[in-house]
Formats: sequence, structure tokens, C-alpha cells
Amino acid sequence: MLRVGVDVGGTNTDAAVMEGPRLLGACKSPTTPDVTGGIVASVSAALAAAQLPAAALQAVMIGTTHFTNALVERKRLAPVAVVRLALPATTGVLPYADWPADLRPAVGDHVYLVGGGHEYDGRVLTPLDEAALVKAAHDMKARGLRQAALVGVFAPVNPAAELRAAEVLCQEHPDLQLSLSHRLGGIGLLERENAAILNAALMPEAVRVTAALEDAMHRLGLAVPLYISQNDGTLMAPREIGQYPVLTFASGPTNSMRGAAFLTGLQDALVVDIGGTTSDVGVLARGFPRQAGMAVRLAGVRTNFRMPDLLAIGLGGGSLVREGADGTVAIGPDSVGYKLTEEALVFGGRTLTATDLAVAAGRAEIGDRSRVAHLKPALVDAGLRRMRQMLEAAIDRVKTSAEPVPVVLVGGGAVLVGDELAGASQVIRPEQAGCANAIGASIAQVSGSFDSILTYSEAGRAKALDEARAAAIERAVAAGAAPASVSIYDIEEMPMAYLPGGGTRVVVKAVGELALEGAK
Amino acid sequence: MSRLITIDDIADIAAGAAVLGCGGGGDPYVGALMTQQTMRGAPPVPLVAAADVPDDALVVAIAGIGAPPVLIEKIANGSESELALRHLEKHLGRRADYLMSAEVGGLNSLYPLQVAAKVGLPVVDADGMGRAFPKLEMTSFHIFGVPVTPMALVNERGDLMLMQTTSDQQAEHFVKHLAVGMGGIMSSAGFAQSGADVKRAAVPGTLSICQDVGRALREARERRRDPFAALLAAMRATDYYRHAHLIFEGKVVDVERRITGRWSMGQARIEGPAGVLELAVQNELLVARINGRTAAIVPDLLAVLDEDTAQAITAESLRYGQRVRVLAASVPPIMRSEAALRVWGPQAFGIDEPFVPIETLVQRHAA
Repeated sequence: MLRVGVDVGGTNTDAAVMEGPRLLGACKSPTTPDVTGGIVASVSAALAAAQLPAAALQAVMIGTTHFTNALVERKRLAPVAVVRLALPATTGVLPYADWPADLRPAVGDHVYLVGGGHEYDGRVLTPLDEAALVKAAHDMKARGLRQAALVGVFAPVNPAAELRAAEVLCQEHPDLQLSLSHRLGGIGLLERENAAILNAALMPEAVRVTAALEDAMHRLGLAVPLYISQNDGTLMAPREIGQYPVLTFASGPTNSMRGAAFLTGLQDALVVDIGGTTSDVGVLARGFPRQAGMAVRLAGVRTNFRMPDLLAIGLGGGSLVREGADGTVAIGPDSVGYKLTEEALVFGGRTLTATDLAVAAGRAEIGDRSRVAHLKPALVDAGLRRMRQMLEAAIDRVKTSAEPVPVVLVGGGAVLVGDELAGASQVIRPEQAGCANAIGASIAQVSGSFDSILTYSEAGRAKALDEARAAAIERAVAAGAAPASVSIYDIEEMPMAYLPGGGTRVVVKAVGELALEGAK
Repeated sequence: MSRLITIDDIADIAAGAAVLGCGGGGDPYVGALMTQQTMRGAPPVPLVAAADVPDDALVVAIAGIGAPPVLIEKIANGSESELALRHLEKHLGRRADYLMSAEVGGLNSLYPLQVAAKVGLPVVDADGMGRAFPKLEMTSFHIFGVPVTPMALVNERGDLMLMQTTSDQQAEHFVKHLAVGMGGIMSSAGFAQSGADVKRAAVPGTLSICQDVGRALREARERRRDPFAALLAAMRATDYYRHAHLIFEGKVVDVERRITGRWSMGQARIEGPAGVLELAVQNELLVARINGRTAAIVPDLLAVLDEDTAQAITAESLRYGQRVRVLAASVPPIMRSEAALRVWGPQAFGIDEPFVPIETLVQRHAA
């Protein structure tokens, strides 16, 4: 399949034209405020490099951190109605209980607590209070609210209350856009509610970005399917991004890691992405990033998204280098960042950066080497040694066993490091490492997942797990996977203590190859 | 001696309670938010030393009972414990004068404070174990003949049960089945006792220790000092936990969980420069073995702490790859008596080895 992967980052938009496992052409260009311009420029240039017409493409895959940035900057957020289906439970902790004070005004304070929800075993907690929902819908209309987060107790176990409540609300308030919590996260009411609120707040922006992406396709003369990268690196259709923008939050680093896997052919490795200010270190397990087990804070809000488990350290190409009186050298964590090409010594600037040390040591040809010729070899050596130590410590922390593992270096700062690293069985620098993120976006896989609490005692464990597997596979196919290609990637069973015959939380993930014809 | 507990103290108490929770007792996060919501605008809660409670006062213990993981999804509405208290009072024909924690480890350090803020009662600075344990009869109250029942149990719907059993073991037996029907988690009021009983049967001073330990961790973080040094100093400043040691550091390399009956059983393996530490888990962390040698054993306290923050990690949150240090500490002497060890010594958890105090084990290994 001939396709183009695009990564829209905060600074650059990368594009990579791929055929099967082969990279045919790539390009990097600045991200534009309208998103569209940068995509059009990058994709056009990548096609030119591949010597292909746009009409040859069969699909486009785009990864973007746009929504993460919108949230961090607290910009372009819509006011949100929070509807919690839970009475008489949960009022002990009201929505927004643990939010940063500066983020709350951006989404308003519109909370509706309604009878509904389920028990841990899926039984009804309280019959859905439809009259209260009708009243809430009218109140939202009066307040001019058009986005709502709908959160039912134990919705991941049984989404019935959320689904019915969505029908009632939409009937009364047809303009309402809903974020259903069971689509966004697993067990953990507050974390899932927070995710649904963030998602609802980002929806208008998501609609705008989806339009921009479609506009870019139009301007490129492309009439082929468009897909968006999710947090786990698999794809979703653009109409989904309009509904679930938060599912793209971690796609940037995920695509980098998966691109690294793709370029090296490694399924299990450690990936180090060295940027201008920080390095992200993560583990690839069977081609996917290992995911964080704990709650993740996004812009200060606790959520339970499944995000890649990354360790970020303050080491990048622009990291400041300081020499202590005793001859020791400190690197970072502050950095000249995107001003590297103005402030680094090799570019005629006055700041000694990590990049300058790499150039002085002959590891990289960047800027004007003569401008770092005066640096003392002892300083250069000590600095390079310090960087190596920082990376080795990070690698050791992230590794899951004492065995040496292959380490893949990607990102512009990969030149900072030599080919010997403690804990690494080998150090690999893929040739096209600079566009690993765009290549990662182009990997055409789709997934489906199942996350619920099952009670084994009724049907028996084997049968319950079979049904969970089938549900995950069915969801992967519904998301566009070729049925024959779908397999189970992971099954996690987490028993719930203290309850006899009590539930076990089962999380199943199925992954398959994108079926272009079958994609909905 | 008494102190006043305000909304600003809750986070500290929760952090300290997580350390004393020995990996169990429930994640105090939701409990802290609930207590803070109740305390907002309410007067501070007096925390009264056990010695200062009049002998004829009525003291009631408040606790959440059931599966803590249910609480992170079906959060309580905040009135359950008050209902349970009122019902127990009606049954006893007398109003409570003080509330108390049955278990300061984990979530149940906060339940009594939440109700106290609501109903305006003081809380006794004491509990029944100075850590967390998984069964109702595993309290110092039981050892000294203060029964669990009568106990009132309430869920968020307001379903209410009054339990009167012939033994604490029977109470435990009924409660686990009741928890299923009641929706997984309940609030309880029980262990009713006199001030004289408290002085005889409770472990005094434990709630303020929770607060002190949590405060030490927070202050170390705020001042960018070593949180482990601060934690050890805070523990060693107490009578109970003064034999506190960081027995191991390393990385979690394996976690295995299974359910046996209603218990979450498991093993965790941590590898570090000193070799391998193996943890046996039954809801709480029971025993730590370093390179095959027992390094700490129940009822002494064990906690797995995050390497960066020194915050306690619950057994259910243990994951592959976490960098941790393992803390072991002595428990109050009342918890190590022969009668006490029969209830929660290693044999009570099916571990076929004798209890050896941490201070002895540390010396033995150093030799």
C-alpha cells in the first residue's frame, strides 16, 4: 500500500511517503498555525522527493500533538456540562475536586448529578432518572452549553446507563455534543470523568482541526481515506477524532517509538528520542510502547488514559553546558531550545550547548566547527562523559530486566551519544531517524480493546476470557482492521480483592492490519 | 495533649497512612478528597490523646469495609458513616462522645475524620493496629476482648444492617458476604467501647504519627531534601516504629497476582545491587526475603516506596520496572505479644516460620 505518514508537531510537520516497509521520500517543514499549510507543504515535498504524483497515494495517516498543546496553553477550550449518572452515590467527591485552579474557569462550572449508573458487577445502581436528564438538557440550552461529558458509575462494566442518557439528552438538545466516559478510560470514576471533561472541552477545536485536515487533503487533490494516530499508535477515522480528541494526546512520542521499531525491524527494544531540550526514553514491547500503569496527569488533571510510559530527562541538543570550578561539567536541564541556530557556538552564538560538544568531538557536522576549536579537550571529554552517564542512568531505570537490550537512537540530538552505552546490547541509529515520527504514523494498524470487570464464577474463567477476546477483536474489525489479520496483543487480568467470587478486571487489546476497502 | 486537624492536614495524613498501610488498606486518594470536601468550611476536628479520654466516655470506631477498588469508581456520598453511627447510637441508647479509627493504615485513617467533621465530634488519637490488616478480628481491640459488634453497616443507597455476632470471626465471615450484596463497599460504625477500654485495648498515638510521617515527606519535598532521610527520622522519632530501616533498593522485575478465596495473593520480585528481594502479599505485604533470607515479617511493617518521592506504592499498583526502596519497621509492642501473634503472626497468614523482630533480623544480617 502506497501511503503518506504525517506528524504535526508543535514546531515541525514531517511527512514520509511509504510503500510497504520502504521509505520513498520524506520532508520536514514548519508547522503552520492553520495546520493545513504545513501539511500541504510537507506532503507535496515528500511526494516530490519520492517522484510520485498525489494520485498514487492510497491512504494518509496523520499524527498530531495539537490537542495536547491546546490544553497545556489553556486555549480554545469550550465550556462543558458535566453529567454524572450516580445518585445516590459519589456526591462525597464532586466533579473538578482536584483540578488546577487556573483550568477550571476555562471549562466553567456546570455540574448535573443525576440518578443512574451501575454496580461493580453490572447490576443497575439506580434506575436512570430521565426526568432529571430532560431538565438538565433544558438548563444546558438556557446556558448556551453545547458540549457535555457524560459519566456513569461503572460505565466500563456496563455502558447501558451512559448510552440511554445520551439518547435522552440528544433528543432534548439536538445540538449537544457528548463525550461518553466509557469510550475514554477504564475503572476510576474521577480520572475517567476528568478525561471526558477534557475531551468535551476540546471538541470544537477537534471539529476545526478535522476540517483543516480534510481541507489539506482537498488541496493536495487526495480523495483517499484519512486516518489519525491514537495514543497507542493505532489508527482511527477522522470522524472519531471529532468525537474523541483526547485519544490522540500521546501520539507524538508513540509514533516516534513505533517508527524506530519499523526502521530497525526490532519489535522489542529501548528507544531514546533525543530532542532539543529533553530526551524521552521508553520501552517497545512487541512493536508497541509499554504503557504507564498509574494515573497520568495532563496539564495538572489526573486521568487514567493508557499512555506510553516514558522517562523524560533534561538532555537535548540545546542543553546548556556549565563547567564547575572542580572540573566537573553539568548538562541542562535548561536549554536554548528552538534558538539553537542562533545561540549555539557553532552557529556564531555565545552559549555553550551540548551540540557544540558533539561538533568539537567530531561526532557531528553542524554549523561551523572552527567556532568550537578553542574548547579544551578535557571539557569536551567530561561533557560527553556526563551526557553518556545521564542516558545510561535513564536507560537503566526504564529497562525491565538486567539483560542488555538493543537501544535505538532517534531525534535530532542522537549525535550527542557514542556507540557504546552500558546496558545496551547494541546501539542503532536508523538512517531516517529524523522522520521516525512520520514513519510511525504511517504504520497501518488498527486496534480494539475491552476493559471491564468480569465475574468468573458464573460462566467460568475460560469462557469469560473468550468473550472478552471476541469483543476486542470485533471492535478492532469495526475500527477498520482486516478480520483475518486481527490477533490478541495483550490480556491483563487484575483480580479485585475482598469480594468472594468477586470480579476480575480484564483488559484485552486486539490489533490488526488496516483493511482499506473494509474501512468504515 | 490534643491537636486540631484542619483541611490542610488531610493530605499529610493520607501520605503517612499510605506508608503505614503496608501496601494495603486502600489508596487514600479518594478518601482524602472526600474528607477535604466535608471539612471545607467546617470547624477543625480535635484529635484527643487516648489518655485524655474520660473512662466513661463512649468511643465508636468508623471504618470503610469491603473492596477499596470499588470506592475509586462508586465513591461514597459522604453521609453513609454518619447514618451508621446514628444507627449504632440508637441501638446502644447512647450518643458517642468520640470517634476513632480502627486501622490507620490506608483509607481508614480518614473515615473517622470525615464523619467527625460532619457531626462535630472529636477523634481519639489511636487505632487498633498502627498499620493495616485484612480481617475484622485483626485488631488490638479483639486481643483485649472489645468485640466488633454490635456494628452498623450502611451503603450509599442507605441500606442499613445491624450486625450482632457471637464472635469477631463470625462477624468477619458475615461481612464478606454482606459486602457483595451491599454493592462492594460499606461504611461501618462498631467496636463500641468505653474510654477505659480505649486506654487498655487501643494503640495510642497512631493517627498523629500518620500526620507526622506525611508532613515529614511533604516538607522534605518542599525543601528539596532527601525524603527517605526525612521519613526514617520521622519514624525513628516514634516509640513504635523506631527500628525503621531501608532494607533494599532496586527495580520491580516481576509481579504475580492471583485470587484465593477473597484474598489478593501475590509475589513481587525486586532486583537491585544487593541481589533479589521477594515480597509475599496477601492484600498487605507480609514478608520480605532478601536472597532467600527473611528480612522482615508480619506483623512488622513493610512498605514499598517510590525511589524519587518516597511515597508508598500499594501492592495493587506494583508494576514491572518501578524503581523502589523497601522500608521495614517495628510495630507497637502491643502488636508483638504472644496473644497478638496468634491472631496476626506469620502462621495466621499460612507462613510457616516464626516472627522475628526487624531489629533482630537487621542485626543478624549485619553479623
